[in-house]
Amino acid sequence: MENKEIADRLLALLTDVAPDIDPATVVPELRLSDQFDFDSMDTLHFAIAISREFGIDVAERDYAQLASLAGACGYVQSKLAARG
Amino acid sequence: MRIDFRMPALGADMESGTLTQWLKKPGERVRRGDAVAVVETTKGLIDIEAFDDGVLEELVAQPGATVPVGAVLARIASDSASAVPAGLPAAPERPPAPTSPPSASPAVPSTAAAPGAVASRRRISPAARRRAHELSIDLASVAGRGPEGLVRLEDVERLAEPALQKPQRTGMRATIGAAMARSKREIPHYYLAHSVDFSAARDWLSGFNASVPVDERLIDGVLLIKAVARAVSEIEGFNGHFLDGQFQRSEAVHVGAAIALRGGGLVAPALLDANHKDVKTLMREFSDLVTRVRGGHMRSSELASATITVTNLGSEAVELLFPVINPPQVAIVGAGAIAERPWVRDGVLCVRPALTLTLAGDHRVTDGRAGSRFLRRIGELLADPAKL
Amino acid sequence: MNAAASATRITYREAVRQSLRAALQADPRVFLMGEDVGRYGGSFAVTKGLLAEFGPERIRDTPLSESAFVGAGIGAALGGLRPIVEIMTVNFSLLALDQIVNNAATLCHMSGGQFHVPLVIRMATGAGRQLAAQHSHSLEGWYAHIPGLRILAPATIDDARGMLAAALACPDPTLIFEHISLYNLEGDLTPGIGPVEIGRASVRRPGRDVTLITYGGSLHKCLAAAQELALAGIEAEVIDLRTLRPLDDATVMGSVRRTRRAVIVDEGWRSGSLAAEIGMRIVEQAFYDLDAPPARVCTAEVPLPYARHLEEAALPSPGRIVSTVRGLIG
Repeated sequence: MENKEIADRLLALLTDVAPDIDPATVVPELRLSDQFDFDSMDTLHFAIAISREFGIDVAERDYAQLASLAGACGYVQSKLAARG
Repeated sequence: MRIDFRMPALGADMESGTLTQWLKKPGERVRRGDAVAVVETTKGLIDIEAFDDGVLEELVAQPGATVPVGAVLARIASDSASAVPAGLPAAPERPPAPTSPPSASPAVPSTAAAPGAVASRRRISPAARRRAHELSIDLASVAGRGPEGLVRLEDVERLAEPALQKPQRTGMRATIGAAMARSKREIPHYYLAHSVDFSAARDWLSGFNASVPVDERLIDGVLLIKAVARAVSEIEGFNGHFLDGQFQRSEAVHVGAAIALRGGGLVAPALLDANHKDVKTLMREFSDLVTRVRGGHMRSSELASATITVTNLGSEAVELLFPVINPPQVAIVGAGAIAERPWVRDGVLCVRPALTLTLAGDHRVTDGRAGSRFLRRIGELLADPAKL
Repeated sequence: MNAAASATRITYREAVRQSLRAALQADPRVFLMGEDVGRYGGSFAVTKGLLAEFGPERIRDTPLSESAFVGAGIGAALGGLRPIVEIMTVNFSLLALDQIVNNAATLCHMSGGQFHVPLVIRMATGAGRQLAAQHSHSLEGWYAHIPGLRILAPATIDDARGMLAAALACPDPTLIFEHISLYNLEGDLTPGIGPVEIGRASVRRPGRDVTLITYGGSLHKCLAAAQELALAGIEAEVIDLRTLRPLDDATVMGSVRRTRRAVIVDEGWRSGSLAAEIGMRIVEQAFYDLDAPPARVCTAEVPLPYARHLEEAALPSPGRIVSTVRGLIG
């Protein structure tokens, strides 16, 4: 899967999880907690959405890698690559 | 019998709300607890629930209308002949509104009156009554601001002023400001802090979360809510409301969870009967609540009914906070960030995930000794998370 | 200029004395009688100097018999004179109750209007000077109950100076109640003041939030309370009734309709009191304008105690007026 496609799908998930954020304002490299006051509940919802969307298991200890959109993108990519 | 479905008071300071949407159509069945309409208030969009089972008979208010608290939104043909529009712990100064008189009832004093009928009369001054009559204002829609909730002339005239028909635009910040100013003005706060070792809770959570699919996982906050709900049901003086000059303890434990909104603002809707629900149920409800709050779909019963509040600044926050009690409640429990800190255990210095709990209590009801017992009890419960 | 201005500042006692002197000068039919009004100068020193100025024919000391000298006053009035009778305090006037209530008040009516009794009776009333239970009561409310009498209660320097002439001009028996705490009150006398209008209440302080209705010695307690309330943002209107019979309902109702709250401050006891009468009239005439039930501040229902702290506790005070008002406004 293309990086671009993963990033687009993650952005769509993000706005599903947090409908009150404007996707145009998301800076991929910035931490979601700094940009949008993401808290543990948001992170959990984001993890649930990612695991459903991409069919991957997101372990709790991996939540830190979902802290930014870019981080999440890299994480999903590596999980998909590992699955082959 | 027909029941008036009225605009509820979602907090002591609410005067009116704007009806944005009907969620049910005339003729449709509604059950107690069903969301019937969406109303915009300073706290955001709220789903207003039915108090009775029945059939939605008539929509009185139109979407877009600003409706005063207590005014009729719709009429419901109730299934139960003796239905009393109670149920919601709405604003205390507003007792159940009178229902429409049955059309064919003979004028004989009935001993079989509904239990709600003996509720004491509202205090409305003669001047207010006459003015409301002149202005065709339903007195049930007027919030009394005089002594003991007395409705005075000026309370009626406030509703009549067109400029005040739309008080909603003062915004959430003004609402928070007013509630907190009232709290600091009226409530003699005392503050206590207690640091607890969170490692048992953390270990238990990690183990639990590893054993379930991602959508069944728990977060720290839900353990805290459960621990507070348990502790507050065990220790007197923290669960309830301070109204009419005295503490009114609540048997039910409805834990308000302070939920921050992105871009500022805060609401604290309640997790109802939190002490009787297991953590998995609470987690599901909490998750649903946060989603709905941020998406603007709180329910009316959640907004007005919290008997104590928990505020948790989250993992990225500072270690200690001094919360302000949300009136008419009498206590609020704060949680700082869970962070690794030096900890002494069995005479050995080690590093532990630790959490500092704070309590703001109301000195009109309790003292530091009871507060200390309450906070320590929360800590004990968190140390044995499997039993939560 | 300054000298002229300071010359108008006098005591209530002096204002009453000036009114007596002016009345005696103006009309040869006027004479004064009572216990100790002549040689002693009056038990509250009001009539000091009048005996020397007007002589024993017109300033007459009487025996200690209220019934006798009030009866003599009624006879003199019927005979064409204009007697001013001083009774030392309202407590002793009870000895003359029969003359006042059964004779003075009734003769005009019982004679089909043929006989008027243009009698003026002055007496001191009220407490506050540790004179104990037999010298401190406020019984003017009883007299205000009696048709055929006019009851006046001057509370200001101008009224102390101006009400007597108006009372003498009235063909009916008129009782003037002077509160003992007022005699030493100092204030400015309006220069050249003549007879003042009676039968009308007066707004002594305008306000929008509550009406304090009072008279006599309690006026100054109400004004003090109003000042304290103003610091808390509550504007009290203070009405001085001035005439206790007939009551000026129009002024009271006009004010209560604006403020929507009324507190009646009366040094009498509350049961069956003038305060009760005024409260009832407010309910009868202004019920639909009220935002609160009418309230009263009256004297505790005990014979007035002698001990200073007990006497103070029994009487209406600015503090009690303030807290009563706050209870209504919330």
